[in-house]
Amino acid sequence: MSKNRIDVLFLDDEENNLISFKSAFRRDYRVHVALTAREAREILDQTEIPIVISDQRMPETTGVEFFQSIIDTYPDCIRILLTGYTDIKAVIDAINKGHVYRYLTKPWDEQEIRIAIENGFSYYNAKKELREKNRKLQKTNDELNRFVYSASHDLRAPLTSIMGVLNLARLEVGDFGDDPYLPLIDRSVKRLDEFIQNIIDYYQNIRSDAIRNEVDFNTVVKGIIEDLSMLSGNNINFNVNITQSGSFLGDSFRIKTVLVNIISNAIKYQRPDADSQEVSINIDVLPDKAMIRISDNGIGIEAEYVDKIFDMFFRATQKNSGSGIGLFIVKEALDKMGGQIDVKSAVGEGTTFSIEIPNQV
Amino acid sequence: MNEEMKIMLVDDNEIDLYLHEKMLSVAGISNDVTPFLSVKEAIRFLRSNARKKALLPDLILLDIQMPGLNGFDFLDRFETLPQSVIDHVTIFMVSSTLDRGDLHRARRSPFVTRILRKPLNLKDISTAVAYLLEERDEEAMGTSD
Repeated sequence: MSKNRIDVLFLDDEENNLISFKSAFRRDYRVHVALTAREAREILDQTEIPIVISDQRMPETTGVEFFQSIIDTYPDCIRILLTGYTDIKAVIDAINKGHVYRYLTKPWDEQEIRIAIENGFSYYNAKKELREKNRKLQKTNDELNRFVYSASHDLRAPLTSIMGVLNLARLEVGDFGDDPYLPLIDRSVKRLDEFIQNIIDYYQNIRSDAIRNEVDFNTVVKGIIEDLSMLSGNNINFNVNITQSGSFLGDSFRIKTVLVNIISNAIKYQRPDADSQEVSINIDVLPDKAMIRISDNGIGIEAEYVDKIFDMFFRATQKNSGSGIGLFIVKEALDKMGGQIDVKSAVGEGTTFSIEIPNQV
Repeated sequence: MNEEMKIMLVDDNEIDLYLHEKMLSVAGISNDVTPFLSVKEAIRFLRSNARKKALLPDLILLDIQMPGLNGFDFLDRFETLPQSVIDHVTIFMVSSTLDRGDLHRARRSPFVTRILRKPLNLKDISTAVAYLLEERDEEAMGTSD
């Protein structure tokens, strides 16, 4: 206790009061005293003082005025007003202008002052700790941002170089020719890239606020099918049916994330032995929402797994290149947009996802 | 535009430079491709050849993330070049970035005509260049009237 005594500053224009305050409290606290506001400010400038007690009635500055003058510079400091003169106006000023922690009356009660100091100090420490924790959290956040940013680049850049080389090889020999190894590299690289993209998508989804822009579903879906053409080859029949007469406002990034994941699943989990591999995309844009239905006639999801497919890193099948994060991202993105998703599936017949996304027009 | 399109590549990754040069050649877009490994060198080249139209590139493929000065720094410096350079050159940004901030920023820049993704594929670059040539032809016809 003696080592960590609380620093208390007492301001009063009467020297006798300073002396008696000091003698009453100096054993428990490190007491600093000042006769004028200016002296008090000088002390505050030099030492970190958690508790400041001031008399209200002083010739040059009142206690409230003094508090007002130090709020901006020492916002954390606990202010206690001591006065023998009580009227409601003074109390109101003390609270509204001086932002006092306690309002105590003269003649002071030693015990009352002790309690005010101890409680005030706990409050001061709690505030300080919170500020420190916030600062650390902010730092961690910034670091995480930088980490993801550089991961999105530094992990992906060499990968895209590999994919570029593979593209070129494919161009020159015509779909890898007879080389047995290149297709294997190609598949692994794509899988890794999809995983990195998913992680970044997920991260950007949880971190960024929802944006609102015009979404033209025809363009979005067309772009996605083109992007996924590497994955789908020419084997898949897409039945696209989009009705959009009015405008749709929403988060285009998240909507794209949702559609890419669901459509790429519909492509990935086809039955190789099916007569024809079908993916239907039906979108109906209404004034209040977009209703989206994406169906495939693929392998389907076993009943016992249907409830789990939106969990992080859950994979219902060993087939193909899933990372188990796609549908989790879909769910997160929809939650952020206030949307909904529902799934119906039968093994060996196919899967249908029904999605609703609010139109923010 | 019958003569070969002059293309400048700005990218710190030598493999990508090689790939892009090759891709442009395979696509039949251009064999007149000059790679630059840094923003500084590229800007220096443009500044010192500002008056030599024959040496200026018609198209720049600009990477975003590079050590030191990056693609956005390039755009800031590009803005300070003589108007003759700005008018002559078209810029496509080519990047592997997925960062929404970067993509937004690239889209907002008045100097960036297109954003292409890495790995650059034949179709994307061919389509982009075809658009560009069409626009130029229209402009050329417009001015001759």
